[in-house]
Amino acid sequence: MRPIETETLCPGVLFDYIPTEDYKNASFGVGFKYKVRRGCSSADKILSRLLVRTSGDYPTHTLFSRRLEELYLTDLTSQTVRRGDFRATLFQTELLDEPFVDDIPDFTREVMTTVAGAILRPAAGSEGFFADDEIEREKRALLDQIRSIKNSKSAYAQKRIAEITADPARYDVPEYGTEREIGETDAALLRRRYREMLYRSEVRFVYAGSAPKEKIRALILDLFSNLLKERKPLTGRCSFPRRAPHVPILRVTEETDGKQAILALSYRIPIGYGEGGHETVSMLTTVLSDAPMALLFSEVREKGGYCYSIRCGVRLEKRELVVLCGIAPGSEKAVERAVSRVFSTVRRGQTDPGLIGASLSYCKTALVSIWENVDETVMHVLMRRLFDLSIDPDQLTERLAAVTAEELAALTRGIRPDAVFLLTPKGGVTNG
Amino acid sequence: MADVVLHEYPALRERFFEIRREGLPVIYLIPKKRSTFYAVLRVGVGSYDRYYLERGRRYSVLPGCAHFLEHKLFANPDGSDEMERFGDLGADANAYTTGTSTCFLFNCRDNFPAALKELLTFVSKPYFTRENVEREKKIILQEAAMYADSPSYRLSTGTIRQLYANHPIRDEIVGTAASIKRITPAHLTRVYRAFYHVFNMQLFVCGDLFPDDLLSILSDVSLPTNGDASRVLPPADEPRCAPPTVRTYRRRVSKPLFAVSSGFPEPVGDISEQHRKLLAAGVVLTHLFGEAGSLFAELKEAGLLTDPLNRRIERNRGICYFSVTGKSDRPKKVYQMIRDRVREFVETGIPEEDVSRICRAQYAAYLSSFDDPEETAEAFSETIPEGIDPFAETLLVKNLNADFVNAVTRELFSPDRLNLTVVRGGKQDALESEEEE
Repeated sequence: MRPIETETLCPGVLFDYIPTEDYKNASFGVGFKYKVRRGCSSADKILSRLLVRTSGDYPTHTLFSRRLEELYLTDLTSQTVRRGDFRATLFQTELLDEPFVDDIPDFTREVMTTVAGAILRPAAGSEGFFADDEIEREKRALLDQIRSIKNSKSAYAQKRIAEITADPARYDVPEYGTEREIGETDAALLRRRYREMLYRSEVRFVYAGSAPKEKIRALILDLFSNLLKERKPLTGRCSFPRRAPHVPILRVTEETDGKQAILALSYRIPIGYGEGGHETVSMLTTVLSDAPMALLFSEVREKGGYCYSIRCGVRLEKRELVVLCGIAPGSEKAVERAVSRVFSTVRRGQTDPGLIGASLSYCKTALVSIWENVDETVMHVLMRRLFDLSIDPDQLTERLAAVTAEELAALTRGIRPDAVFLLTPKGGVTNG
Repeated sequence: MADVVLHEYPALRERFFEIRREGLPVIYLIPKKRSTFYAVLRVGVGSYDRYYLERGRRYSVLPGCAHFLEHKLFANPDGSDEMERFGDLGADANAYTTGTSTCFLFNCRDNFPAALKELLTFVSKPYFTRENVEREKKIILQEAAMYADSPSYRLSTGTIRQLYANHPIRDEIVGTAASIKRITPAHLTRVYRAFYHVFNMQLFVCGDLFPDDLLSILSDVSLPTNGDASRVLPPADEPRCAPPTVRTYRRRVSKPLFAVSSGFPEPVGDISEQHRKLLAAGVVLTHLFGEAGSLFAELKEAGLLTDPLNRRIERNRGICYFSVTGKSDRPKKVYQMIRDRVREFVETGIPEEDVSRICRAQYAAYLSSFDDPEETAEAFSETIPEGIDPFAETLLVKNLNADFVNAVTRELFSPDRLNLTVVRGGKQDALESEEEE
């Protein structure tokens, strides 16, 4: 693990410095953690997009893009994620590094100044920040993004299974909100959320590169000085309430065109985001679908010949595991049985130790890869530290290495099937 | 004895070794101080290889055969799958097939020597039985169905079919349902023998090691050297002045997908000059269709686009074209605006300051990618067969100027050669139809 030096710049504002030497890239990230508000998911998403399109100094997307190209294709991206009652909006820039210098290269200063300008001084409209036409364009772009999920059958199946299993008691909307929320988003709402993001939040700066820490720290204090004033502390902890699985299993079938059917199987898992035991969940998904010759791959694809692609993913914040595969229409019952056999094998404690070993190697390599890519390192540190999770890869590896077939069995015994979504070509055999 | 040549690029602080030793493919080793290793074995056989000559006789290859071989080489005689062995070594292996090559690759942290030997050994021991070939057909037919249903895949294959009348790039890499069903162990064995030999392979390795380490790992490895087949090149009888076409396909889409494309005349000159021209063409595409360009702003302003356009230049064995893809409710209007802009641009050209800004950005994109062993090895496996290495290509980008880019524009771009391919919402026919306009 690289050494990380952490400093508090003021209450609620922290700085992580990660020195690197032998990389061509440096990376700088800023993360804001703030409260999720009902009806604001789309506004939060639109806000994150608007802030990387223009700035007060470069007030059109064209000018702003040209500026980034001039800065050697500095890449400024944003993303928003929700974890329980909190949202994190993360800005990240990847820039060319100039290692082995004693001062901050002028170039790094230019890039960070441009990034600070984009986040703190957005282009203005007639009544303050954010021009109406830019807002309308971003709303259209987000609507397009939601609607174009239909273009990919597997993405559509994932979206539908998420909708089917959404908890009606919670504000359980997708990260980007809903079409209705997009319609209701206006400049006033965006400005309210913007102020909340800046001043009623926890802020984290992360820099990975070769410039000296003191210089980067001083530059952050200078460029982001506004953020250090008038802050209101963020209180509360993330919570991930449990929801009982559907009994009997909820089954939804939709018809489509084409040759292939998509089957999505959703399960409730007993562990939520940040809770103890999530390493066992990581090992389970690796054993099931990520490792070489993972169980779903060997049982459903190689032995059964039912599919080309099968994978599973976990949404810990929803306590949900989803298995997704493209299959021949009419084979869904056989595939469900094959997937059940896989779960039975794990539940009985019969997971091959060789596969557990291969899964551990896979996880270790994945962890190492994160720490050998400055961009991924910065995003990893931002996300995990904003949500108070350990970032020590040795500790994580140790916990993963301790997972046994018995622990996987115990976890799997707590997993319950919840819902099945089938997208099948017209005329295909359908489930009830 | 091995022949080792060092290629150094001090301006980029990069270097690589080219290693030749009897019984091994040519090896390109890119040393990097990382704790993970990445290796790619490239075999020069892909979906374009529909025929080959052996002892004066011409043999045909079923569509999808190279891809089928890629799948089936992972089968072992003891019934195990090669993936398991890589898994036991802590390596993550994969493979893919293109028009011109089949690549087998892995990455790992520990056990690199054993994993590398495994890579070179398993491709030299094919094991095809009627049973395992029949089982694989079911899997590959699902893969083909997945591609057939994908609107973006349809857009890409539709574009190619408009551009090329005869070239085997028109064929699906996975083959057709009919050709997949006709493949037998005997057919696979014959094609394997023709193409899987050391003279038709290259190995790319990126990680923290040097030639001596690598040669010592491979001291007892030897690959088949008995291939005497020669490739039959794709036909070069493409109609050069085919009029531009507009073609529409139907798929389940929320908004039409479109591609504007044009074949390039094959760039002339030595290899370096040809690459310079294609890099200059890339600068033109960025200038015309990038987010910092005025056309994108106008298309957004007019409500015709919401997302940036994707740009691509493709060149290999007898093909050379560019395409620009996106989503729009009015693809024909976008097409018309693109044609107008290209027409105007061919006359006015690109100013020096824009060339300099775009080249700076492209240079940075190349340079950044060299931090990652996987991206570096992949870049080598793509460019070396085309006669250039990625480091040399990076330096070529840095030195482009407006005069050269404008000359290339006049040589390669024409508003009268632009095709439009559209994938609209609507019922997908069981038998694919192409609506010509």
